[in-house]
Amino acid sequence: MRTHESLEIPPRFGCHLNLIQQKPAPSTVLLGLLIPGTGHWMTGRGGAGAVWFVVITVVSLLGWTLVGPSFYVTFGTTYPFGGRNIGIPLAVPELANFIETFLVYNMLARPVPEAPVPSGAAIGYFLTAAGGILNMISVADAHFRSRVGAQADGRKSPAIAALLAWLVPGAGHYYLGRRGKAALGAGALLITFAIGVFLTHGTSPQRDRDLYFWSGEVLLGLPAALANVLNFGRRIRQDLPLAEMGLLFTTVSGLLNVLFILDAYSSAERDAIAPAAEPAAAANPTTPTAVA
Amino acid sequence: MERSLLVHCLAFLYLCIVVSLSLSCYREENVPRILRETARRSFKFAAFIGLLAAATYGLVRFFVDR
Repeated sequence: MRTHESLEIPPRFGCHLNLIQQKPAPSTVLLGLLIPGTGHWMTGRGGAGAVWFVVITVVSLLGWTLVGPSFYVTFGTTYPFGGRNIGIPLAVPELANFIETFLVYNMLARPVPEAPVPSGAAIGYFLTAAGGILNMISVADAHFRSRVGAQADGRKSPAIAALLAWLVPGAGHYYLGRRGKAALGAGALLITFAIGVFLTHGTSPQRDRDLYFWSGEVLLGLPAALANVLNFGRRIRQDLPLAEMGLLFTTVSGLLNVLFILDAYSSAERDAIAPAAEPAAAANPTTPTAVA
Repeated sequence: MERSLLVHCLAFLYLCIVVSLSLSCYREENVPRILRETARRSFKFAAFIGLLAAATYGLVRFFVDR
């Protein structure tokens, strides 16, 4: 009789479904996206959930403190709707940390039309975005743990791989030992980003000026944050004929990093699950392995 | 050829290569294979968009500028 365990799944379509022990829990995703850490709490990992909650909340609050009321001004004043501002849906990627973002947005929603952008806003916006991205990673981690249980404990964490891949392009693959792909990713994306910054004469996307471009650029992680901090408040004093191309380059480099983040995460996930079959294969060399 | 057009064409070709490289890297572990895939995809990608742009340009010139 052909059992589920005997089915061979091509590794490139991945996921080693035959090795997954438990049913995925969608509620971990839904709750985790609303409140940080609740996904882990749902899967019986209250300690890990508390750590995620504290880290994400502290990072986000620190960012909002640095940004101040200009966060509301950036998102609130341009899009009035029936007397109320609906700018908050544009706060990407903060919306991945929904409840905290919603609460802070409404706390800052005071009529401060001339709120100046503080000097720490470049770091602040990066930190608020980091809160949303960290929460997405924590939700993915909670969902992964809910599926595999304790099987993946002690192995390289997909969440850490994804976090490193976001912070520094290629670092996630380097952490997993895939040096060639790490070099390719880091080279391609960092060179593209550097060309973009060069074409805009150092005036890389700032959130209060290039809202949509910035949301893509921030996905490149620390290089984008560094460029934002170094170029914060820089005034354009000459005609920049290739500025739009520069914005495109910086944004595309950030968006393409999503592919590397996802790839690092799924590679780590496969690594975390697959080695469980190795001892049996090592004991019996004639047994064909599932992974080519 | 106008310098600005040349720069834009080169930028476009570069973006084709980078996008193709990233797509090839996604869930593919073999680095030499990634490079071969990149060359194949970027060529097809650039050729497709180039043909599309040429056709659009031709149609615009034919119907609008004549």
